[in-house]
Amino acid sequence: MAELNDVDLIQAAARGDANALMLLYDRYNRLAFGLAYRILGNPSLAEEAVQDAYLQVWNRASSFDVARGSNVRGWLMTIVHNRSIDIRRRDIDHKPAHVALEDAEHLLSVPDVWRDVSATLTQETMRSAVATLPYDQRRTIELAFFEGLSHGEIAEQEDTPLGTVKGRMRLGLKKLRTVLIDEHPLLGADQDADGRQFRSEVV
Amino acid sequence: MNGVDPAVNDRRDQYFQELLGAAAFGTLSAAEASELEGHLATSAAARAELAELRLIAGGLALLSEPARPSIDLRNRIEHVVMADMAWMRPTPIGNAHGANGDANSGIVPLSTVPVAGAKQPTPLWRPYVWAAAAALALAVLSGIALDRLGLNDADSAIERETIAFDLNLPTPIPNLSAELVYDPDDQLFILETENMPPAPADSVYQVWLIQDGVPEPVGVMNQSTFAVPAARDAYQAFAITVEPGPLGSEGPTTDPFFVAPLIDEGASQS
Repeated sequence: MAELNDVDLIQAAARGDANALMLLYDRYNRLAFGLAYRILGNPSLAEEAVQDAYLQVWNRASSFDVARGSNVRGWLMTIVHNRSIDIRRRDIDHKPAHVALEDAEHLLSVPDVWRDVSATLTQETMRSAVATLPYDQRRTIELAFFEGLSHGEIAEQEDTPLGTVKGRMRLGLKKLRTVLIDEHPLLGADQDADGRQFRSEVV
Repeated sequence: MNGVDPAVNDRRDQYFQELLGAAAFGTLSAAEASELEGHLATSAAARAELAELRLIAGGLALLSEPARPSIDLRNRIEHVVMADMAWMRPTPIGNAHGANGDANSGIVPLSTVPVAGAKQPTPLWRPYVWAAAAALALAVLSGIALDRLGLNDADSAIERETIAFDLNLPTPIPNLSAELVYDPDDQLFILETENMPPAPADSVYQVWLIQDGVPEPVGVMNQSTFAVPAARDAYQAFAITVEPGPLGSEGPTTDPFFVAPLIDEGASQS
């Protein structure tokens, strides 16, 4: 079973195969724990977040829809991230929880081109991409992602106008998108000026 | 005047663009989430953009330095999943596959083997629980309570409740330690033990939850960790007895050697 790919494993987990879930744990526990620890700064809370996330994966494995273009690693890390932020706001920052877009989940479908990009992202690629951002944009994105701060909370913490924070976030994400596609070996040459249009056969 | 001012539409588009960024990071307020959901329902472009942004946000996870969690984390997850499976798929008495599971199922061995059966009143149980609760307070105050496992760091389990228990063993067991915790988020009891000896020959440790004085069998403890999903408030006590193996009994046939009252002290004294 160890040779199965992530999608095979998540589908096996959806059928109730606990071995499959634990193989996913073996593959990604260090990444998951590293993310949770970065967000929470406390190993016990980080383990709580990772445990909760894997149990959520176990309970929701059947909802993973490969046809919508997501990838298992990204899906898992999103769950770990959300759970870590929930715990951080509850136990560390004592702030109200954010609200997930549960009702919209089924509407989202990843554009074909991003399936390749997201599935092949590496730590080096991501670090290089983030390093291209101006400091303010990078900091805004990191505050949102690793500290779970809303636009308003970032504005308050950084003593920056709300509109400026929103602009930094928007521009930073837009630039990241462009850089990541530029860096992708198969896709970079096929994008347009906005980095959003690609040849249809590139999937 | 017909139509909408284009400037209004532009501002509206920009507003939702900003919300998409926050949505990708999961940092929306309830009002923003509600607004954005309405927009997503009508805008394919917004849906595609959010899906992209989420992947980018997911990629940010790679900026973290991978780190190794404790070995126990894997065990805890595995045991909770096993307990969940056992809970969802009870094995009837007399039709069980044994403690190691079906070798052909592809499922790892169960940590718990649920025992189905009717609740059987045990008249002596209720007094025992109250007596245990009273004895427990003394035990804790005098430092007799067992050492807790170092499964987590000292500041662990902030939200999990550690439940005190009373242990009555015929003979002392060297280095035995145990911890019973309740996770309110997952509504899960987790008992971790260390240096727990095997049950006597042809016997098993069977776990019970006591409701209205009636012990309800919730599984057989085959490993050092036992987990069972249950609503804490619905029960008076968590207990373990030694029962005939390998499946245990429908009702306890011996006195519990482990009892954790689940009713708060104030309630038990009133």
